[in-house]
Amino acid sequence: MSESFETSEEIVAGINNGDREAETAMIIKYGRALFYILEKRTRDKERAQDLQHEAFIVVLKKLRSEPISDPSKLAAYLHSTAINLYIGEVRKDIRRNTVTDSETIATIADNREDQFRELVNDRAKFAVKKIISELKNDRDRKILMSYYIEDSDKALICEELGLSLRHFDRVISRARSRFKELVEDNIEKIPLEVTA
Amino acid sequence: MSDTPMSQDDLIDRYILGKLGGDELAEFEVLIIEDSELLKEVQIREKLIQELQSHEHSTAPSIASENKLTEASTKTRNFSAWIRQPLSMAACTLLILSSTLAIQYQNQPGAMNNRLVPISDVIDIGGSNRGTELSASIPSSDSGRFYLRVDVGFEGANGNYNVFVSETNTQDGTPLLSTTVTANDLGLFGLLLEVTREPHPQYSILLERISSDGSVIESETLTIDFNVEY
Repeated sequence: MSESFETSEEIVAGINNGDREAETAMIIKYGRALFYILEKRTRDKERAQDLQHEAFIVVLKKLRSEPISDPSKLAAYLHSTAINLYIGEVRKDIRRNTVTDSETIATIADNREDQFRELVNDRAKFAVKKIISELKNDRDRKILMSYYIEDSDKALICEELGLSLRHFDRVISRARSRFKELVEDNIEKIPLEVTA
Repeated sequence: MSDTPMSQDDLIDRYILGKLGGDELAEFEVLIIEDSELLKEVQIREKLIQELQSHEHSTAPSIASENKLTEASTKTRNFSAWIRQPLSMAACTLLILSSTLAIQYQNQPGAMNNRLVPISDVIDIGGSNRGTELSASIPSSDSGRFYLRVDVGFEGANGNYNVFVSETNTQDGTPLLSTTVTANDLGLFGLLLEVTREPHPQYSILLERISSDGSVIESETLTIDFNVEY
């Protein structure tokens, strides 16, 4: 009978007991986010993938030999491991030859990531066009563009356009929630279970 | 997700826009790793911002096609906020450089493999009330062509503009480009300039906002310097 590995505590204990399902559970639970963060930092998908794999390997080796002192901090431990690897790579600028000792890592993490992106991308262009067409006036459009495109400060935008922070928040909030609403249906179709 | 949705929304925005740093950044990234719903929120918001950028660029008239470069091959990055701060202290007639700047390098003319140079390689930009000077540095590199994209115009003043581009230190003053373009609603339009390999090239861009009868309402001159030889 297979055990449940939903919480970080269960995962840490399972890996320490040599349970391969616990290792897979960790990769499924944290893989996507770890990859996302690394890709954002490196701006390089392949490099992010390498770092993600390497971080998992480092953490798996550690957890197999001894559990971390506070299993609830598993995400923080994964994060610091990944970021340290990234920083180390940037500093040394060395070419790595990472040998993955778990073939499931790439399959599990990347499959879900690609599906998610495809589904969001499918709807995003349409959603933005619709949001812009639904804005009541040029000023609201300018609020959106100034904040997100020109990276202007909220207070500065309000001052320049002579509007209240409340109005600003309303326009931004409406755009955020409308966009989410327009792409949400597809996102929910992402499979929760992935078999390696 | 959170008891304070606005606060988390702002955090998401700040994360995507690169405004989180140090412990704040690390803590937020750990939250993303722990919370798959937050990751979705972040990715959706990031896509919103990307699509808004894409939409904005696709609606802005550009003369990029004259340079035989496609929009897809040009990396652009917003930097108006960067230059906006010093300029905002000046009069409302300031010229606002906005939206995007991209420099593209090709190994050889016509070569397919391009290397994109990020905006972070542009080291300085400054301005004055009526004349805005832009200085840019391109890292030393192999021979090849560089392209500079800059979106210009008078903030909020849409309509037609006369544009004259000259290479001031190597040419006799004859404009490399002389055209009339229409700015978008924000008063901006894009220029894509091929930068020559002459040492320390300097470009001058004269903008004239014109009325329907062709008379000049206001004008501004930009100079773009490259302070390295490449």
